[in-house]
Amino acid sequence: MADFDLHELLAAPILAMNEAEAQNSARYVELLEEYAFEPAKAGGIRKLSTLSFSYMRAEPDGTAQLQNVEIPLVQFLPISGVSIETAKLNYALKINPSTEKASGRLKMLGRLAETVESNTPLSGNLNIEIQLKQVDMPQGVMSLLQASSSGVREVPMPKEEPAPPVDVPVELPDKFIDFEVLEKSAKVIAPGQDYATVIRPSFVEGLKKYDAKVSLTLSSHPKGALSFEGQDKQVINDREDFKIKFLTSPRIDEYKASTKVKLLILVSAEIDGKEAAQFTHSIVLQRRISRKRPEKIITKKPRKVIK
Amino acid sequence: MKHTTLTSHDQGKKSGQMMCPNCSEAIPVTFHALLVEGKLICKNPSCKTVLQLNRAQSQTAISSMKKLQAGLKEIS
Repeated sequence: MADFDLHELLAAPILAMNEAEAQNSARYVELLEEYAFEPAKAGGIRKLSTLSFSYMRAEPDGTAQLQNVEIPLVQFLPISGVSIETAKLNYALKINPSTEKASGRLKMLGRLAETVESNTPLSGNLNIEIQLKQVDMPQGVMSLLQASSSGVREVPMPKEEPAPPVDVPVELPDKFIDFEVLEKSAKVIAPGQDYATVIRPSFVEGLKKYDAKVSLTLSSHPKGALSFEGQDKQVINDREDFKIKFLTSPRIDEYKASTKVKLLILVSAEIDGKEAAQFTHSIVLQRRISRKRPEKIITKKPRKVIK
Repeated sequence: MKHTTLTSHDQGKKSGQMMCPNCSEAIPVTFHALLVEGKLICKNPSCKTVLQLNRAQSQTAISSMKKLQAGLKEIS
C-alpha cells in the first residue's frame, strides 16, 4: 500500500463530503426543474407548471359564481434537500517512520493502519459517521415559492350572458295610460284650500309588453294655480291607486270665469333607461264662480242740445 | 389506505396544503386527492368548498405528480 501525504489523507473524506453535497444540490435543482416547470420550449421562458381548479364562489349579492384558480405545482412538491449536519471521522493512521523533510517543510507520509481484524476485505479503519439534516430552503427556492404563491390566479369563468335584447322599435299609442278618478276631497276647489284626489292608472296592452318604468310629474294650468306635495317625478304602477295632494292658490278667484283650472299630469314612459314616450293628461277642476258681478259704471253721453 | 401528504418543507410557507379560496382554511393536498379523486374539499364544516381539478388544463402538472409518486413509491 502506497503512502500518502498526511494532509491528503485527512482532507480526502472532507472533500468527498463536499462533493457529495454539491451533487445533492445539483440533483435538487434538476428535480425542481423537472417537476415544477413546463417542458422547455426553444428560446422561450419556462413557465411554472400549474394545477387548475374550478369552484363555486359566493358573491356579495348572494349569487354563486364559477371561479377558476391556478396554483403552481411547486407549492405542493415534496422535494426537499438534505445536507450533512455533523460528520464524525475516525482515522487510524500509520505514519511512515521515513518522514521526509522536503522544501523546508516537514512531510509526513502515512497510510491507513491495518486493523487488527483485517482478515476480511470489508473491514477498514476509517470510520465516518454522518448525520443528515433537512436543508434550509435555498433563498432562490424561497423566492420562487413566494413568487408562485402570489401567482395563484383566480379567473372568473365566463358567465352565460343573457341574449342581448332585440332592438324592437317601441310603438306606443299616443295615450298609453288611462286614468280613472276614484275620489275627490271636494266637488269644487276654493281659493287657499287643501285638496286631494285619488286616481287609478290603467296601462294599455301596448305598454305592458315592454318593461316600462312609468312616472308622472304634476303641474297646473294656469301655472301656479295649484302647488303640490312633492314636485319630483313619481313612479306609478298599473292598477295601483295614486293620491295627489295639492293646495289651491288664493288667487284662483281672480281668474276670468272662462278660465278653466286644470290639474296637468305629464306621463313619461322609460324603456331600457331611455325616454320612450310621454303625453299630458289633464283633469279639469270645477271652481266656484263668484256670482257677484262687478259694478258697472255707466257714463251717459251728454245729450246734444239743439238750440 | 395511506395517502401521502405533499409536504416538502416546514420552513417558511408550508407547502402540501393550500388555502381555501372561500374561507382561507388550510386544505391538505394528497396525491390520492389529486390523482384519483381529482378534487380537493375544504374541511371547514361551514364551508366545504369543492375544488374540482381541471385535468385538461393541468396535464403537465398531473404527469409530473404521477412520475414523482412513482419515484417516492420506489424509494419507500
